[in-house]
Amino acid sequence: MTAYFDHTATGLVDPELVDFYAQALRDYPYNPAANYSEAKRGLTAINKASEEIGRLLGCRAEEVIYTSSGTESINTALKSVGWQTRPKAGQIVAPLGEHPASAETLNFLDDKLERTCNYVPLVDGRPDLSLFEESLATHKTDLITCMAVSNLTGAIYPVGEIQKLKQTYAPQARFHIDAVQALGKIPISFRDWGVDYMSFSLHKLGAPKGLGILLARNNLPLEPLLLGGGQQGGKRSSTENPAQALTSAFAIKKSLDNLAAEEKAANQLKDKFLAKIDALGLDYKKLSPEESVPQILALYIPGLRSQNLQTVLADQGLLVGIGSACSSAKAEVVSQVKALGLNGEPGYHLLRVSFNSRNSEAEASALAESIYTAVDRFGLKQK
Amino acid sequence: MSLTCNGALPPYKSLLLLRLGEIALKGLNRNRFENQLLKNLRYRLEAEGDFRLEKRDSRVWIQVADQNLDQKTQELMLQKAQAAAVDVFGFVSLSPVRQFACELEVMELQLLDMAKVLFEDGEQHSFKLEVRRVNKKFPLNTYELACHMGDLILDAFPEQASVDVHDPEITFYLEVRQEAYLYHEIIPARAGLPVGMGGKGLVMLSGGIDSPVAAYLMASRGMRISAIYFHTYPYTSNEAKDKVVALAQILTRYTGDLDLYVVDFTECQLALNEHVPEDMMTIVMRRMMVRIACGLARELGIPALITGESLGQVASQTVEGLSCTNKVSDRPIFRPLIGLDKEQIIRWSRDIGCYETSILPYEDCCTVFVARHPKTHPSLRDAEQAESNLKLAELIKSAIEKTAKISLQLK
Repeated sequence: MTAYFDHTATGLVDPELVDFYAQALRDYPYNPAANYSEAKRGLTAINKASEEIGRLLGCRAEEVIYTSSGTESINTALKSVGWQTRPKAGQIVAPLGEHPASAETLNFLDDKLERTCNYVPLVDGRPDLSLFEESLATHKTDLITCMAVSNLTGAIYPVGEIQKLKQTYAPQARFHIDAVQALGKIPISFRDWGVDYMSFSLHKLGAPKGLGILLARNNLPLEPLLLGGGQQGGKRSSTENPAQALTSAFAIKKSLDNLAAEEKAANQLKDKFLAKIDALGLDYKKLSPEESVPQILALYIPGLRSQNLQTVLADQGLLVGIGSACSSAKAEVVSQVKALGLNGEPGYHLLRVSFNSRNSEAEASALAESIYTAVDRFGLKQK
Repeated sequence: MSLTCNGALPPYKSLLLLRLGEIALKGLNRNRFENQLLKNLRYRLEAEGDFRLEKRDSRVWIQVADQNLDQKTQELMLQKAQAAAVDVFGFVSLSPVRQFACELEVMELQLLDMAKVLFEDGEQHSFKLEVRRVNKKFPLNTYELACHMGDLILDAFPEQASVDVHDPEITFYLEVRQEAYLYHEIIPARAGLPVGMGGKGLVMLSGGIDSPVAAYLMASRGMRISAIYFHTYPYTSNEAKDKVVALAQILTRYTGDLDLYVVDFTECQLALNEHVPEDMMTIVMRRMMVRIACGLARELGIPALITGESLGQVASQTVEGLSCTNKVSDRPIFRPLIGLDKEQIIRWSRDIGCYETSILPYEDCCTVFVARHPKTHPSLRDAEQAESNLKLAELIKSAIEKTAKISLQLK
């Protein structure tokens, strides 16, 4: 019997989406780029799906690009701007502790394309706005990127405020949002947010893995990541997949329809969970700030390294996430965790619990008890 | 130049020849050693097919039991037997051999047939012939036979063959007894003494590079090996335990069937963490493990422990550290790696097929218990003081009770 609390890592596969995807594969078997009408049906289906996504996410159909993953979407946007703005040599700004898909791409831009990347520290798990403002005010800026919701703590980043700062100090800069953890949790509007790029990953919603989306503002030329047959208007070469487009639209619609209900369920589960660990007297600190989505909860538990705690929980069928693994050839706290101010030994003590309507209150309660028992049994007393 | 009258190669029997090593030096014990060796060899060969073994002088001959099988099948079976036999301690080398009638013409045809394969690459090769003529009735003497056969090859491969009696590429060995025997390969085996003749040893196995090599080396001196592994759930992962099981399984190629004892060390570790100063943790851990290993060894009637310790590799392996560990052992601790470089140990590890598994990144000891500045020259008093708050007898007894046995068989 398994109770799954790692929805942030990937959503539990939704059988309805799987069946839908499988059927769509059968319905549109041909290469949409082929010349015969049977194949062009596939292209029509994709366009219809893009229009639907446009309605759902507040963008134009032409602004929807289908990719393999959130990672590919992020790579595409950041590398495109990083490459295009090289001659202008303005800075790239991001908060510390972005997801590795962004952080590693920025490292690449820094190392190989000689861009200057400046990172804004987090305060209470969210980017320090005054330091953000200072950075934008004092440097010419070409690109800003940040998460809308943190994958580690669930913190809701002040995207609106950052956008305002950008308008004031760096109106010419491009703004990319990693919305991977935001989709289905908070309302999103590409148009209203006024940003230039947004990255999404569909497996977080329980869709098949291998489906991603990049929204890219129409009037901005995109330097494609993948070159080849020129599909998707040259923006992402690769044989198009009508099943992917249709399933993406369906998954996004479902998640937006369920947004309020999911939020309510997650809040109830989170409250139940926290009440239980409080009642048991677990020694912990909540790392997720007040302004967080209820679906993601990060805790600092000093008694037991989270990797060891995860082992004990998994042996009982309880699956959770952790911040940083401590066993490997070169055990090192990963930068995302360091950005929260957890360095050295504390860096191995971040536990991430994800809540979803498929979890029951009984499960949440059982998880709380098991965590407490494990820490009580295996926790190392401070000397 | 054609020598065949009817074009067919006369029949020959395929055999595998195994040469005994140190055993040949044993005096009155020799029979016991040879019998153990044959027993081990038989066991090893069970999985490879039906073979007949014959012991003669300092050699063991293997042939396929069913002589009605065709030549090709027999040779394939003997290849499998060869791969297995090479890992049986007690043999110094092996050779695939052809046995045939002791007649000159037959010898000539067999030699040419064997040589044909070696010269078919079209390259030049130097060779020599080594003849052993035990059968005094054979018309040609050793020297005459060697020259005759040598000329045969030179005539058959005039562009390629040349004689070099000092450092030839190829040596053809021809033995003339009741039957004649011909081979050209001497394949080194692992030497050592047959497992079972060297008493029993309990190896403290970790997932690292060293301890499996130590186990192998003691097995090569004829020791029958059992293994003990300390698992500290949940600090050491299940992958780490699986790794140790995998290493022990690899060792069964050389040690034969092996019992692996997995000790639940968690309670001990927690007690140590509470009562022992950080800088003495490693030494005290080693001492606890040795005490528990001795307790288990006593129950199993195993007179010696084995570890992969090498002098100076890590903090606990200074002379003082090892001395502290020795003090709590009531039986000898064999450390075959004590004087070896890490590079040498790695070479051994690769040779026995353990290296790739040993370097998998699943640690056997959670770094949360490793002190940043461990005491490198602890005195016995330091150790005893560090242990003073521990209920040693209870912890040891409890750990031995919570020990699971995994019996691993040669696959």
